[in-house]
Amino acid sequence: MVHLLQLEWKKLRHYRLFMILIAIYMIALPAMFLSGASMGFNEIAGGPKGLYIFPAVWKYLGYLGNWMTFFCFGFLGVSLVTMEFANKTLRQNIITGMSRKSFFLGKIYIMVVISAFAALYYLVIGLIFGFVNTDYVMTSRVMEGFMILPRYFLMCFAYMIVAFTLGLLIRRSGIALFIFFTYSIMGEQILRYFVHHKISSLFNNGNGFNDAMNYYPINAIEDLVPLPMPKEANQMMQQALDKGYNFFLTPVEATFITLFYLTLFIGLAYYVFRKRDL
Amino acid sequence: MAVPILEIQHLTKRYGAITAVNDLSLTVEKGQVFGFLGPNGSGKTTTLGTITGIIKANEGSYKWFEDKYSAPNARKRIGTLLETPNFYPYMNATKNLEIVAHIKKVKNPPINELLELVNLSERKKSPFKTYSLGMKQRLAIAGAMIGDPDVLIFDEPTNGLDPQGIAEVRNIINEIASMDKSILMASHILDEVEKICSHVAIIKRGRLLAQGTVGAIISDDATIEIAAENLSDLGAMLHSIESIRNINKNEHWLELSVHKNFNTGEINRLAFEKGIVLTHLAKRQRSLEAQFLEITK
Repeated sequence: MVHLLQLEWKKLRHYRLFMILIAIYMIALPAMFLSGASMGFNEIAGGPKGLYIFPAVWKYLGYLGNWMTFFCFGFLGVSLVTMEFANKTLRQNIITGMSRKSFFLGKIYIMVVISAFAALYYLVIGLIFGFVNTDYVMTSRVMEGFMILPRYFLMCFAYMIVAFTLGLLIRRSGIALFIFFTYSIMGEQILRYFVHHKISSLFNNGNGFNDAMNYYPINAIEDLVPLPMPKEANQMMQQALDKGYNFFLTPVEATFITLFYLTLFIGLAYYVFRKRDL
Repeated sequence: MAVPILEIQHLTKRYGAITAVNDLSLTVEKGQVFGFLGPNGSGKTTTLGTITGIIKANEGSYKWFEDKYSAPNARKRIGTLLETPNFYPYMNATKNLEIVAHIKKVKNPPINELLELVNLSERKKSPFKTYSLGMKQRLAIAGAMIGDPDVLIFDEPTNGLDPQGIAEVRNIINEIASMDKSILMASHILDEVEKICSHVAIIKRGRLLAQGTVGAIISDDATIEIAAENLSDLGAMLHSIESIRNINKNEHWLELSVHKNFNTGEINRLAFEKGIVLTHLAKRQRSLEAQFLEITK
């Protein structure tokens, strides 16, 4: 494992796109979070420093991190593998003496490390914002961040795996990135709220909403670190709940559904990778 | 005892309706410089891609080093240059070779010496993407030499190079061949195979047409062109020489098929004795090229 990680690090250390994406994440996460105050989000969060105090800081920073990891590490997940196709270095690595299995594992390991780094960085930024802005620090509220941490890690890793699988199957970075971003931002919404809704309406006397609409991969990954709800939205949510439909998966549901999709995607990617000519 | 390094058995690879490699079997032994000769698109690269692990055959099998190692570990003992030189474009020569060494698990690779061997020392700190094709090709040869492999595979090593580049690469290969390594080289350039290789296999449309030492594949026949003022007198005289296998007449001269050791001086002496004055006398070895064209016709 160490040997494979060292190899990935040798490849990435001089890879500009990798450094740029890591830098964007590291700079934009605190910078955008800071600018949230001037955009009036503090009031929505319910107080002059509403975004930045424990435990709210974990949720709001987590939600921003959700978007940032989706963008930066989704992009990176595709590039990690399409870069090897484009330069034909994947073939060369195999010819030089790697097995397909170890090449694949090397990529998985490096994505685990990157995701762990992203999650730890989230923790550090959260702690700094929290301690600077919270007047009465309560340990239990600080600890909430540590509870979110594993889900934050899983979220980042899962975005990367979805992107990586697309990159591996499609091989071309432009097309893979296009599919990753359009599916995640639009495609899945269309699937859920039009296709799925229409079909289930047919069987449920016109009431198409049901929980299965939430069991889509990007939605499940998103809900690992969900959008914190202001009060008004909570009322809307309650109305929907009364009709038997929940907009969000619970963290436990999201975790299990994400793990299911992870197994599926990694299994599919590995199966195809083993069989195919390079 | 000849030690087989590579044994290919009944290899078949199809791409849809096209059969790129068709029931191909061959054996390469230790110490051979084995030429893999065929026109473009005959299945050479597909075969080499299969035995280096990047292409999955439909049927048949191959064995490296009598199956002493797992396939990836066998590949670590082989230096390969397949088609194009493939490196990370944003890294320099040294860093790229370090990656090769890392994959092959070679501790302290002699990177500077290898770059010296392929004449790239001066540019070793420039990124790969700034290299000319000749430089890329030479770096790929240096990459293939990492870990001091016993076997080297070169696929069209001089393809696309300018004359100077071709000469440089050939020199390097000759140098490597003299280091007592086995080499498997694919080429469609006969001259190259004839100059470098000890053994040759000829392949066309995925099928093996002939296999043997370069000496055996190049036939024993030589051709003599001979002319005199009076061709019919000359013809009559030549019919009396037993060691001439065949005589063909064309407009300008007669073509004689003889063994390659045939002494042309003998003909000259006989003609002189009979008062026939020769106006033309030339002996040609049948080249691999002629042989190749005949075999692949």
